[in-house]
Amino acid sequence: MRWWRPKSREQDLDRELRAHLELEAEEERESGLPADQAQFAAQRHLGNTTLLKEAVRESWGWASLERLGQDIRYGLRLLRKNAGFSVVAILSLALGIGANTAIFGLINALLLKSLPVRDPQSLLFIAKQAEGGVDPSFYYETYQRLRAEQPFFQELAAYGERVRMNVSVDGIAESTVGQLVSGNYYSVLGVPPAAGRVFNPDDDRVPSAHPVAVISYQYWQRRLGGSAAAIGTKVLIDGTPFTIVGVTPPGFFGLEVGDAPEVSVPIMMQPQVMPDKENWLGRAHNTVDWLIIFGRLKPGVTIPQATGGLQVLFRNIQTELATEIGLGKASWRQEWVEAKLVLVPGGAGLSHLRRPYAEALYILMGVVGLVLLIACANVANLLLARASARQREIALRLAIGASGARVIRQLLVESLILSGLGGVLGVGLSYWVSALLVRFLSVGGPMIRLDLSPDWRILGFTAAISMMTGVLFGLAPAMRGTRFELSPALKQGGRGSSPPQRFARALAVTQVALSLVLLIGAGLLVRTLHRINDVDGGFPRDHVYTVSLSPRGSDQKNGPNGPRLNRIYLDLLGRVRAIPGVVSASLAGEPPTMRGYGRPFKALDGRQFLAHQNQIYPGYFATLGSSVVQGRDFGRADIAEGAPLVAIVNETLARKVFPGENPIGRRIVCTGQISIGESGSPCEVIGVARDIAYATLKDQPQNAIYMTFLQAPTGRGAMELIVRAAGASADVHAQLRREIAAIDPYLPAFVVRSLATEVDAALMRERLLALISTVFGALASLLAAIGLYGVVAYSVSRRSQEIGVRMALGALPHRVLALVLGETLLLAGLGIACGLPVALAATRLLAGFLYGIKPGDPLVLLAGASFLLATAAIAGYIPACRAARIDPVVALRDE
Amino acid sequence: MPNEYPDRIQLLQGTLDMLVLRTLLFGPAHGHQIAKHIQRTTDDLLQVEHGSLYPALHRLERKGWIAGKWEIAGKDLKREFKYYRLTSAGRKQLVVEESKWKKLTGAVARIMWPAEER
Repeated sequence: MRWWRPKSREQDLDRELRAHLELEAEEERESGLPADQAQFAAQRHLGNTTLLKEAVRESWGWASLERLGQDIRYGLRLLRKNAGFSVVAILSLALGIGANTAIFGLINALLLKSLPVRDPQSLLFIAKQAEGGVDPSFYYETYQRLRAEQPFFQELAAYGERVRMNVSVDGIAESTVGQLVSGNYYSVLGVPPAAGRVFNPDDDRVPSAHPVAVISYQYWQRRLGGSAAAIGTKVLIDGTPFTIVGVTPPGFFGLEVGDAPEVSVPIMMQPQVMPDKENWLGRAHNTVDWLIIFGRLKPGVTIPQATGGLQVLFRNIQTELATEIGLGKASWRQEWVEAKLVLVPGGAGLSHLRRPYAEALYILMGVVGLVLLIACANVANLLLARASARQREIALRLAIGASGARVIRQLLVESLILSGLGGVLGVGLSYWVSALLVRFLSVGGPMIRLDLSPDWRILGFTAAISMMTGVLFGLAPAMRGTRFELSPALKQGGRGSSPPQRFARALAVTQVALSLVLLIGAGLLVRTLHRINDVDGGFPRDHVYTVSLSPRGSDQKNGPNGPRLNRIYLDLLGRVRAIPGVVSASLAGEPPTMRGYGRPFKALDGRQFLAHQNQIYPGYFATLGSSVVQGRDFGRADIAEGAPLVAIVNETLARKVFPGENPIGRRIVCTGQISIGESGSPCEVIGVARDIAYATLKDQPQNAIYMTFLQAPTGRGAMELIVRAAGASADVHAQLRREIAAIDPYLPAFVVRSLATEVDAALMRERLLALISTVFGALASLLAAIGLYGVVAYSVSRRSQEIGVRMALGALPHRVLALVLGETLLLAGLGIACGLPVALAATRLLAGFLYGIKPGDPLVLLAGASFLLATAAIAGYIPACRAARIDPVVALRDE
Repeated sequence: MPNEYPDRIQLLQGTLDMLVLRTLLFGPAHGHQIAKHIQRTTDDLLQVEHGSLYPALHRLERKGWIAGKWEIAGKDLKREFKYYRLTSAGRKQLVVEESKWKKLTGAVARIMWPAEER
């Protein structure tokens, strides 16, 4: 009916009340009151209009957006007015929230995110139960038979292990990460091509007959300029021409999180792309488990049904195969046949990064969580100080009818604006931090590629922690800010009455306590890193170089190649040793930083044990900076064809397996596989070598056995050349390259790395934890120092009159200085006293990351505490000086 | 606020809603009329605090039991008032409140005057 609509409920209410007042006044006039008095009487009957409106607004409900908008506008205006305060608060929150988002982003990418494939939840991996986890790899023939005979899955697909491929495009060779996939890999996953086509089952039928490749989107862009003409181009992969048939979508990085194969070829091409390995497609000679099998269940089949059925099928297949291959009575035959199968949900993909880093990431999450708490405490302290400065304003609002809840709400909106802005800034910061972290993680190893693009989980997480921090640091000051006697607050000029000092002090003490926890954690991790690095006596690793070699002809299939390779390697060693500046050189089957897994061994007197096994050439220990402490190193005679088999064990093995006995002269035999498909023959222990700590990185060094290549003629494919130079010299570097190139001009691109880089890469997790916890420990101490400074400075400014009286009565400046400094140190001391038990409890979580140091190490505790005390002293010194300089005359006149 | 009229009775918590709904059963009315109606009908015994009447009206409107609409009225037909009328949901609610009230007064009566109850 009305031709206009009220602009807002607020106006509507105003009109309604105005009409009421007019009517009421009219009635009063009619009952005989003069006009002005009638107006007043009407108003009196209605009561406090502001309060009434407030009550009506209340009935409109919490979610009134108009009011929220009003609060936000007001809050923003206030924040602009106090720019300095706002910047400090927002920055410290952004730092805290950003760090949390970054670590959560990594956790998300590594542990939570679903694969970009069709219906990731229904994807299942088949795996064998193994000690401490699952082993998802299977023998080629097992896969083929399972695939053909199983009735539970719609289809089974597979992919092989990561392969380093030497890919040349237009004559430019580059070492690239590749993988082998089954023909139905893409169709089972539901990954469509971004260009060209993906593989189909016909691409994967006959061994060595399908030279086709699918490349990743990133590789397409990087190496082939993303051009459509790239489809159909020929590239050389390890010397074999392959045709690129298609490109995968940009978001698809394969099934292993953190690992992004750039070139995929059919499984049938294994012999071509792995020239240094045996032919794994055949049935003879080997039982290498290398294929990871996955699929989706048929509708109506449950996981327990499928697991049970597969188990039976698997045992039959393995028993058949054991006979066909002729495993005979090999000790691991039973393990091979009787493995227990499990189905692993594959929605989030598999990750080799997951195991070593998951725990570390959770620890880091705790660290950044503490930092955020400290930042919150800081902002709460700032708000508290400001709330007491704003007491007059708040008192005024309460006096003219605002309810306490209403004012608290206003203050909360302000703190939420702060945390919201901090959150927005934090997301930007986190993107940068996590990119940095990933780059850091990739040092010295293959590039780790993680999909870090923010998704709903990350944004939700950030929004949630921003909200939480906003309420956390805003609520207490808001509640305190509205709880006081009105009239004294109104009377005093903006100074307000009794300050909430006790609360502020408690916050400062908490900050110190939390910082102590972080510092002690950081101290322990840094000491761990030092310990590990110190174990080999601190020889300069910068001057030790390692090179991975796989010369042509190191193909394991050709047995007769053994002696020839031996000659090549000895020749190479001779040339390298002759380079001026080279002190020593040796070769090994595995890089020294390889974290080994145990192979089963037996001493001929029956004792059984597990040990990490590496095949080496003479001079290995001296080159690495280790040494043989008992017996002797291998000599030239030990590696001559037909020489008796000999071995060197490490100190740990000698101590554990032969306690109190002389291990020299003992005979041991490997009861598992020495190398691919080879069981060992008995060999004699001729020496004991020092433990090499960074090879095991456990609190307990692992058993290790070193053997010559006579033990098994295979395993010489990928060799590690280790060279020790007298000093850093570009000359040695260049000559090394020349000599290596001389043994095989067609050698795939190789990299000369220093052992320092290798060790750094191997110690990645330890370094990352130490670095991040140190950075955040320092940051936390800084925040705590600012908090302490704020509290003490505030207290000095409030007590200036008291201090003035003291000085007027004869207190000397240095006594005043000591008074204020003492107060600061008392707070810090309290914080340390509270923090110590927390730190002791919290650092126990770190036990698994420590080496050669216990969680409660007194030295670290002492260092952390003294560092904090020193920081506190500096934080307190500034206000203390200001207190000492107070002029009693001015201070007394002030009031 | 001290009570100006000591013989008046403060409204029981929650009864105001019911009284407003019952008043509107006679037809649309604005806030002032509602207050006056309740006061007059009870011979000024029940005092309707204006400070609680308007919040109550807006609360009832929000719940959908009454609906407000601006109408021209007054002696000279020049002033606008927000007239509230009962919605069908409001009618149902009135029945509910009424029966609740009857139960309550019945229960109270049984305790206060047990003899009168046979």
